[in-house]
Amino acid sequence: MNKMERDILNDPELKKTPYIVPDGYFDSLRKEVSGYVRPVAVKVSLWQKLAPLATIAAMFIIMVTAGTFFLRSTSPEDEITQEDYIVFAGDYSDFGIYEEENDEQYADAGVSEDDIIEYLIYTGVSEDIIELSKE
Amino acid sequence: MNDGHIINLCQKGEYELAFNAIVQTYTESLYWHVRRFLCSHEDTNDLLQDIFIKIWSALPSFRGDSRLYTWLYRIATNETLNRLRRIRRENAISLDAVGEYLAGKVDEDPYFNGNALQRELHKAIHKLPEKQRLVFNMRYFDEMKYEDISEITGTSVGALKASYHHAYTKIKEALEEMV
Repeated sequence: MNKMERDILNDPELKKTPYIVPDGYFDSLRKEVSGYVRPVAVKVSLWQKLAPLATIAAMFIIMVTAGTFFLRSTSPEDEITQEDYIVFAGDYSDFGIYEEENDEQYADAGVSEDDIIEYLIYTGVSEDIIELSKE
Repeated sequence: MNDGHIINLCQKGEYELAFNAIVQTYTESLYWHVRRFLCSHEDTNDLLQDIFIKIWSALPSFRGDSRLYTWLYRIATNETLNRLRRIRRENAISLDAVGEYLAGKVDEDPYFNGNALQRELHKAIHKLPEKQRLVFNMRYFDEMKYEDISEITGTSVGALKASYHHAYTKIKEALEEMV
């Protein structure tokens, strides 16, 4: 018996796999693996999802900007005229009108000359001085 | 479909067709490659699905510089070794005790249908150091060329031959003790 014949690892039975798998395992595994990688294939990144929306938004902004620029450069009626400034300034001048109205309100409050003289007497101003102020 | 056709599909960007061809062609051989390391059918099934996801993700980057067959085995081998390290970490098993742990799995495996000698052979394989186990499985069972194993593992042919010799001797002695 030579050395090769004595080598236990040369037994062809040992090279066969002793492990087994459930019936139909490989067919079902192939189907399963082929099936679940498909969703991975179509997995889309956030940017890929937003890119069409971003493109539309960018186009909209460009159109609005270009349209505004075009209309302003071609419509003289939209320009701000000197009259606009006057009207604008007139709005602030209402404060002055309001003050005048207040003065008139005070003037119409019904305080007569006699009321003033009574007030002056009440506060101790001498009659001579009151007479001088009446003149 | 052979590797040349699958590579052509990849180069044309037909990744889904290429992937399905890989699944059809390599599912069984990759399964047995992984199963010899993990023993358990459930663990192998679980890991194999992860491996196919890795293959699918990496397929667009496959340029055909290496052979498809060695590229696929490299992914499967790396994932298997990573899984074994994780099992060791999660179960707090030392490097020396991992062989005993995996050998015990052979006895527990309900899908083991071998004779006593085959059982001892697979238990002895699990007790080998990682690199010896790797080269022994690929050389003894799959009869791969050293050049291919070198491409898969990134180890020189000389180192692989030495590892295989050591592994072969240990296994042979373990079986002869039993007989």
